[in-house]
Amino acid sequence: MDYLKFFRVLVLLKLFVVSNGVLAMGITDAGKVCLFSKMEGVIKLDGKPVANAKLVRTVNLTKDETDETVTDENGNFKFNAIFKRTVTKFLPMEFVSNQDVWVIYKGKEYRIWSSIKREPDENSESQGKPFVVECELNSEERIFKVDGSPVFTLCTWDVVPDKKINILKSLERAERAKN
Amino acid sequence: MNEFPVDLAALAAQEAYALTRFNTSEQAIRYLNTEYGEVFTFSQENMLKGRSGGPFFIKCRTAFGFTLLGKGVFEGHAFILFRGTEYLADILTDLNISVSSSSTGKPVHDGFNKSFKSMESQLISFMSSTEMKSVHSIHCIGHSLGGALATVCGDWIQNTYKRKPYIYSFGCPRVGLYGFASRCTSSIGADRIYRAYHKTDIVPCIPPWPFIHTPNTGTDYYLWSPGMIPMGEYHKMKNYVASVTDQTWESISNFNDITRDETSIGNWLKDTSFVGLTMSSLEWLNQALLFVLKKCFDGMAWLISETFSTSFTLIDQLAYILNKGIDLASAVSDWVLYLIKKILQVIGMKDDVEMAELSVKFIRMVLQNLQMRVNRYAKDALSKAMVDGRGI
Repeated sequence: MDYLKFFRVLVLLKLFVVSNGVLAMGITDAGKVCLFSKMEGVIKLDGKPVANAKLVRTVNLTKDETDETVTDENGNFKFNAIFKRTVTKFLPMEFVSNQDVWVIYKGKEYRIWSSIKREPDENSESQGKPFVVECELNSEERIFKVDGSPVFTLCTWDVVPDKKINILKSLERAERAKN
Repeated sequence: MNEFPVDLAALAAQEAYALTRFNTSEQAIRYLNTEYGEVFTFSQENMLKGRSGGPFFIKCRTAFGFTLLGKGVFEGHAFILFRGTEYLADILTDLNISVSSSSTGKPVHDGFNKSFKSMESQLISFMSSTEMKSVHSIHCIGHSLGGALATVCGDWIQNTYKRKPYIYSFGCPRVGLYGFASRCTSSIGADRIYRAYHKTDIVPCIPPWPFIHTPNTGTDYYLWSPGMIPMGEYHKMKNYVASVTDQTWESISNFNDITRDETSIGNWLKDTSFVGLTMSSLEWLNQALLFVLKKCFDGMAWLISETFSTSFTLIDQLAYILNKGIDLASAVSDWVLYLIKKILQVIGMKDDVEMAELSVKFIRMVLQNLQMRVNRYAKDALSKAMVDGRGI
């Protein structure tokens, strides 16, 4: 009997914790958005890791915010994720936030990352996977979309770019539908 | 091709958000060329700076739109893209919504009108640019508030330049009153106004009547979305893009199966079975209000709705018209009573009112209550979506 009582209390306690947890999460997470996911990787120049290169990162949801880091002797760097609590309103709004990373090395500036983040989730840059990049300063900038977010970059990472829309196919489909 | 295919229109509405955010226009041009195969060029005035905010507080000044000229397969086409705003909530749910005069003198939501007017001078220079001379089709495109701006812009182009643009909107709120919707629809043509919306997108439900959608006749481009409750999730542009992928305007025009003629509206009003506050009852109520207003003044109501004075709120004037309707013929006063009873039911109040109780003050109270309930309903649905970590 006592055991049963204890069990009941335990269940109640658990329910209480769970429900509080849910409530707490609901309140704290509402309006929390990720402006830049944790980014780590290596900076290379002509295939060789670059030590002591300065990286400057800028995010902009409503105003510019900048932070910096420096590569270690193996060319590695790490930026922590940036979250922001937004004054969310009850009406939905599109998430649109700028991201830029520049590398400053031997007096030269390289833009290794420039994107408009269109999803508020963490790791949206890498489709949910850890965001680990390899950036070659001497490469040609590539432009593509990742789940709707435009990206300009000198880096490679584990990601599948969006397929480009086939404008001619779309026009043909529209013509066919009319006839 | 004259009209822009639905999937391309949706992508353009989505890209308006990114295009207005790139650090430089050089970056925007490179992006467009890479993604869209050099079918667009830029006019000199490509960034449309505008203002948005509540009626009492004009907020930040940022790029609000983008103008493009087509080339290659889009030679002779011009595109004006508008983006939405984070201040949509302020604009749409203000209880003191006011209307102001559109370029054609018709009643349009003051917030949309002000936002558009702040971009007008740049649009004038775009419209008069030399490249525009060889343009045969102008497309105004936008999502959310951007859709409302595209509608106001299309109306402005028609009136100012006597050219018939195409208007495409996704999840567009209600832009104006009957006078605006009707004038815009008939002068541009319902077949040139493409308004697509998800079944459970909350934004097209507001502001509440007497705001109505443009076009007010013609085809509905109604997209299926899961559930019955309006949410923030299906307002997102990315979900609109997903819903129209591989579709055509023709294929999505078949989705709406709800048609309401006057007989069915009348039957709905007379029906005594219970109705609650749902998306569907709000839609019915919307149409029923227009139906009863029409009965009340039969033309006269439209005259009033077109010349709304700014010293009275919409609700004041509606209450006045409905109250006047009671003094007309008994056939009309019955409809007013049916309507008030229906509204009382929808907002969960006792509906045992008598004709004699329908003073202007009482009708005003009922209407205001309904408006508050509709706004709260919208808020609840959306804050729920927000707590779920979506719809931000």
